[in-house]
Amino acid sequence: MAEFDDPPRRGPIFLRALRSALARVPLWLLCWILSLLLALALAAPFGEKFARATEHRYAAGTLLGSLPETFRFDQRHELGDLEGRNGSVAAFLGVLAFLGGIFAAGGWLQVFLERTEGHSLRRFLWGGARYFWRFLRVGALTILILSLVTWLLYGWPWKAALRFLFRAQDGDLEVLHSEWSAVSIGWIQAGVHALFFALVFAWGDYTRTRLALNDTRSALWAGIQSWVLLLRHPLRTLRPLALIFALELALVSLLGTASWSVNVGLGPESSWRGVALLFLLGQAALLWQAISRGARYAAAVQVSRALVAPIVRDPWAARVGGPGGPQYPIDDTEEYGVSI
Amino acid sequence: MRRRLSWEPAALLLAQGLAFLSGGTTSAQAAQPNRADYRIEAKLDAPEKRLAGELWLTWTNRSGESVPDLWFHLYWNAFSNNRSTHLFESDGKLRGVEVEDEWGWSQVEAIEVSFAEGEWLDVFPSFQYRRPDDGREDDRTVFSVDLPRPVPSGASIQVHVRWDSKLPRVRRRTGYKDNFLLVAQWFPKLGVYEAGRGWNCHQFHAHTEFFSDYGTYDVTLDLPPKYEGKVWGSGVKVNDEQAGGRLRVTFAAPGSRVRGRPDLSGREPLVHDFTWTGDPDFVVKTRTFRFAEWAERFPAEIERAHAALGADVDLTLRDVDVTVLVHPERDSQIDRHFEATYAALFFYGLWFGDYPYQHVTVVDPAWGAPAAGGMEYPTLFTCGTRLFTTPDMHQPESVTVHECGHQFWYGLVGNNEFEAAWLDEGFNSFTDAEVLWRVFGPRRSSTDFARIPVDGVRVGSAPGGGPVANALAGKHITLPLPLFPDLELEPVAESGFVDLWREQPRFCFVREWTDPRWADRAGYLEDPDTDPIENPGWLYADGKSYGTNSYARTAVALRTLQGIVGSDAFLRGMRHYAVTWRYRHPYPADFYAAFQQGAGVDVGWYFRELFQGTGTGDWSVAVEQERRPRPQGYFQSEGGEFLEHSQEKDAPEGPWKITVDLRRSGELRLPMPLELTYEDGSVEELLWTREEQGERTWKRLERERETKLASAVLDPARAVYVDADLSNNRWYEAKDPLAPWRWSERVLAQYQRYFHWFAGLGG
Repeated sequence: MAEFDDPPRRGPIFLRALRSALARVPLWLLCWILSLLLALALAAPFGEKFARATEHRYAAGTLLGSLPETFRFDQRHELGDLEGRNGSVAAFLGVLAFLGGIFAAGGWLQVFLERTEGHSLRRFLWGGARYFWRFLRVGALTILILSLVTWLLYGWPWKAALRFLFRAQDGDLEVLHSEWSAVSIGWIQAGVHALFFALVFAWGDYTRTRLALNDTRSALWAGIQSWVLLLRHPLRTLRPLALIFALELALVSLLGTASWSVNVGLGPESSWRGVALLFLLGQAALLWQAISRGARYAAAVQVSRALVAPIVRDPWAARVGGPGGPQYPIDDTEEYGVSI
Repeated sequence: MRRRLSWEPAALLLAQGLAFLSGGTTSAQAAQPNRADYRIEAKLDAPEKRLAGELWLTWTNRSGESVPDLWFHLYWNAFSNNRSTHLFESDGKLRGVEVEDEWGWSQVEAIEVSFAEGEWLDVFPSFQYRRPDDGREDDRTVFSVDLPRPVPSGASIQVHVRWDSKLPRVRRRTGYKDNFLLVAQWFPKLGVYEAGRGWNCHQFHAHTEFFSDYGTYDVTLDLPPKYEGKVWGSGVKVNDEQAGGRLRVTFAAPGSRVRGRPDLSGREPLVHDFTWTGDPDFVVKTRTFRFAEWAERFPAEIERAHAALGADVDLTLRDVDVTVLVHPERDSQIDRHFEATYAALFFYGLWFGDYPYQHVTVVDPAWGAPAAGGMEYPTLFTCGTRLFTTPDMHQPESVTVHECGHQFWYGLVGNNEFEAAWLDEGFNSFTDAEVLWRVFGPRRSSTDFARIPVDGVRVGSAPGGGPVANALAGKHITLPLPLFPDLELEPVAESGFVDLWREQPRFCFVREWTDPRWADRAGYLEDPDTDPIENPGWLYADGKSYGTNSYARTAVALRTLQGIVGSDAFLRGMRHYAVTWRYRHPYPADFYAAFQQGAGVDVGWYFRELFQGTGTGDWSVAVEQERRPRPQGYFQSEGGEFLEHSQEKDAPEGPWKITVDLRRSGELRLPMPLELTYEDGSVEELLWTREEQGERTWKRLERERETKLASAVLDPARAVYVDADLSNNRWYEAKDPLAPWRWSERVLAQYQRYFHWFAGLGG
């Protein structure tokens, strides 16, 4: 990873990162399709059950806009059972999605660190496998840190703070004088939680990037170093990620507004076009979010390259023989050196 | 306590007779009920939350019997400790909160009576607590005193009571929260004496409300000066002045403008309770309900009422002064409180008779005092709202219409809320849904994120459910580690803004509308057959059964009755009952009799089955249709020969053979209209009668037609709200191929976003 190999910088990091990610079409399509396939596993049985429950029982068009109260109540057992099952199945599939995300992270990092030209998908898959167990450990750390954040903001410390400040027992905000006070405290709580959540995500990105960049194994040590990095260079590390997120937020909001408008416009006279448009708008948003995911890694790689000191290793230590002679691999990677 | 009848007026006999025919309990009151006029003076010691007072009660006995004693309620003693009947029945909780402090109590210090001017007789030595319902020694919510001599029927007695009390923290309707006061059921209140039954003076149960005689109230309160201009009560405020560093406020209920002046029922307006409220933070606005404005908005409703009641009936309603008290952060909702109150005054008045008082007070409880909300008192009621709502969310519209509606059902028609809560709650639930629908339309659902209501609801359920699913979804993970045996992790906690980003409601939520009339049906069917509607409040199986039967089931039964007898007859029946029993205490049989008399229909069977039984019903329709094949084979001619039928190529196909199967399950039998619509546009209307349903639980119709059946619809007007399953009431030949895709798209969108988010957690 010699510095002179870096391409000349053009534009802010977040834009360059987005361009890099956007250019890797098969990768973000793959990330997108994973969530689609998992969701289809739940949507398909729902559609089938819905069709069976409504066949011949409801006039055409009467169930397109919204589901009437009588429908919701009369079908509560049928659809309620399905929803209960879906909740459990979704939890299991969520774990698969989680593991898929771990894999994808490795893939993105492999591609950006190699700066591949072509064969991106192959390198993506290879990288996903390569870093999978390390990033799984990062995932476990992420779970622990998020649990800590939850405990701080929704558990004993928060309630103790409320008791100290407002004499609120067990977090009961009814001791406050007004609803606005309670709402404001709720917003502070939720807002701080969201900020911490975002910070933990950023930390995770930089930890994974560090592990891949330096090809180290210890998730815990990389994690600690990443916290230090974030604290020492908050602007340089967080700004690109924040800007990527801001763009994602803006686009998703725009598409969301359009989607909601189509949704509430559906009625008895609606056709397939309306439903198809809903689907397409939703997928467009998710596609952009998949691209943003990749862009975060591209940005993290660029920032880490500038801020993270490379680990100095003897490049010949893993090779048979010394400089000048043929080099033979002694580990499982494909890479092997050829003497000049 | 039961007593033998000494004599029975003709009206009582008639009522008893009608009740016998219809079944059910009947009023034991004479044509004119007893009367209780109160003059009360009370002083509040705000820091100590002590309220001490004296009352002078004039009780006129019209029961037809001599009464040897007096029974009173002391409601606040229900909150004195955790062994009262009220707290015992509610497992020590009030509105879900375990009560551990800020108790309240009432203690009578002196009580004397007078039969003649100036002669007071001390009856305190005979003071004793009573537990007529459960014998619970620790319950002190009812007491009695013996009189030196009985009060004969037709005579009056003066009672002077001095008492002290402590306000509880408001957890069930009455008490304080900071400076906010909602003071209800606060004075020793006389029970109701009923001929043949004695004192109707029940203990204060967890699931019962109140019952007392009609009369007048003149109340003077001595309060800290900070409440100046911010204290309101039942009736009309007469005086509000500072004196000696204290504030003295005087109320008269009813107000002087209407006191003593008969209303449309021919009787003078009276009230049966007095409640007051105060908060220095109240924003106070007073406006006037004007009938003319609403008549202009809803001319069709005026016409409909005239069509039912007669063109010569004067439906004009008096103007009413309305005072709304809200807290500052909700003053943007003041107009909505007025609109909802006016809507109730207009429609309830149009249907059941003029609101007879000159004023009504609408109270928005303070933050932290939700238990004070959603409750009715004569000419004053409490609502309850929150920030960020819109009118189509029906908050505060729904509770405001409902509680204002109680001015009619319970306020004017004073049923015994202990024994027949459904006579006000269920009637009011029925009526408020009708008003809400007409004025505000369906209710729009929302989903809260960080207390901000976001339009729409999810279609599918979130990942999770049981312990394993919750662990996999990251909601709740229990790790039995050696050093931390019950370590619980919640990485994916409920958190407004994070949840909002994860769920992306704009992409996967749907708008959900609820017609309030159909919401009553859903409430009823949650528990349709545990208890009958007609049941004393403390004898329901549990709180759920009490709620279902008192509210939703009664509303549904009334709405179905309306469908059966027709809206005109229904309105006549209800109005006749409302006017006949104004300022009186009806029981179920009184309602059955009055309704049938007013409507001019005999529906005793309906009341027996729907109000006194626990039967349910589900009516369904199924259709099969196929074309008869073209004629083939040999057919016998008129001469007797078998001739082969010649098959012409363009011979028409045979007609459609249509079989329509109607089925009934459950005990209820209600007349069911059926509408058959054919593809050529022709319509056939039939009725599946009660008698037919009594003979067998099914009915089969067979038709042969040139065109197919397009639809078969039972109960096309959707008037039978008690039907347990409406999804099988209709059959349509055409299927809707788009609907399953439309809703599957929502489920797909929702779960796809969950999985995208989980993937982000991983990397």
